[in-house]
Amino acid sequence: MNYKKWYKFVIYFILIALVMIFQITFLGNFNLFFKNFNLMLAILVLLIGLTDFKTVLVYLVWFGVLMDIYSSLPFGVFLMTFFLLAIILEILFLNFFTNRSFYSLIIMGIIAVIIYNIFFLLISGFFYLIGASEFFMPDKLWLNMLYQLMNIIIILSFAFWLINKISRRFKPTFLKR
Amino acid sequence: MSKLKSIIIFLIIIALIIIFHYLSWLRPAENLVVNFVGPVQRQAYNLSQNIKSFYNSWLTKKDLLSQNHQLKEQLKQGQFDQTKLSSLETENALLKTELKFVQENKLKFVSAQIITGVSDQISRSVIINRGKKDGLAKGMAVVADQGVLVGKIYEVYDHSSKVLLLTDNKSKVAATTQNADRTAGLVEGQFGLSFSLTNIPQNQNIKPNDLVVTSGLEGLIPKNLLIARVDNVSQIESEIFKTATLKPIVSFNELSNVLVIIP
Repeated sequence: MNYKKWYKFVIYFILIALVMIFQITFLGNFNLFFKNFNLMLAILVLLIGLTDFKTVLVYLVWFGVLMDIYSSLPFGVFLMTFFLLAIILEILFLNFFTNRSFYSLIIMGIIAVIIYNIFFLLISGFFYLIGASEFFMPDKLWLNMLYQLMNIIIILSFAFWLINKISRRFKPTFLKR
Repeated sequence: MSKLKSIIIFLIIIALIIIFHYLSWLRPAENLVVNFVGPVQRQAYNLSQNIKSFYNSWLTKKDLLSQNHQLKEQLKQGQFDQTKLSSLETENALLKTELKFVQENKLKFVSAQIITGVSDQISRSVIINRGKKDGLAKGMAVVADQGVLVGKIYEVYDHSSKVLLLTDNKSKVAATTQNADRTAGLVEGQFGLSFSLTNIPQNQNIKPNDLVVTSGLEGLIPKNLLIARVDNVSQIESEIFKTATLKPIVSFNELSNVLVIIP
């Protein structure tokens, strides 16, 4: 790997750390709606459509580690959740949402939120069942999920608009009949 | 095929990271990350607290603020009625006892700042900027500036620690009330919003406004630390125990500076 690529990785690692700080320290201090801005989930959906899978996994591992360090759940819950989610999203992207349209992006985002919550509950539930964790189900699971869905649609719509302003990697228009 | 290879490689990497974490081999790297990220988090947390406080003031109507100010002035100048005096006397006595306790036992405090919440929505926890190197250990009591218990430490890093707040469902603290019966019970979190005193025997006399303090039955938490005030008591004759809803003395949403008691 050449110097330039390393430099890029370091910058992205710092950016991801900043995303984590913004998400859990800044937004996490506000009400439930803001607490449920899962920025990395939106970034994951975008990365799946924009870059190669190996790079996505590198960034995900870093973000997962950061999230696990700052979590009250056993270490590994976020790492495994994001890893499994990335595989599912990659499969969906390669087989069903290849056209990179706005609709594909939004549907991928919605699916990401649902699958993320399922995996998160399954993995944290597993740790709870084996007695490794005292925490399992969030108090307002459905409300959290609803807010996450609303938020990912907002973030992805904004990101789609922004990316179209600076590049042509997503389709600039909506799907045409 | 190449993708499958990547997945397998990353699966191994993730497994190794998790194993190394539980073997504590990753601790130096984790401490480094926490130390590196901590100052930025502290700034971000302070910024969000400032925005919240600005938003709250903005929400309050101007005229209400002015009226509130006038009333406060009147209140300052006016005389306290007998009930208030009596309540203050009780509180004063409790604080004196606490102070005496602290002096007698030569308790040490470590002041800390909340740097962030946690990354999951499941627990009501915060992370403070003091850790093992500052003498902190799992199970120590965390109090707000006013000396009111707000939580317990449940995980310690070199320079930071995770604190489970009393409002968390899983939080349990042995407590007694400052009444004639010295009613004992457990302070348990209620859905992240408030907490209640449970396991109170039916024959115990407990009433609203009684002060609830720590009982000292937990190793690292000294007794007589103020927790909350009794709001109301629910009593069902057929049950062995009764439960009292507690009124927090400090706002758990506005915590920023705390003290950790080192026994």
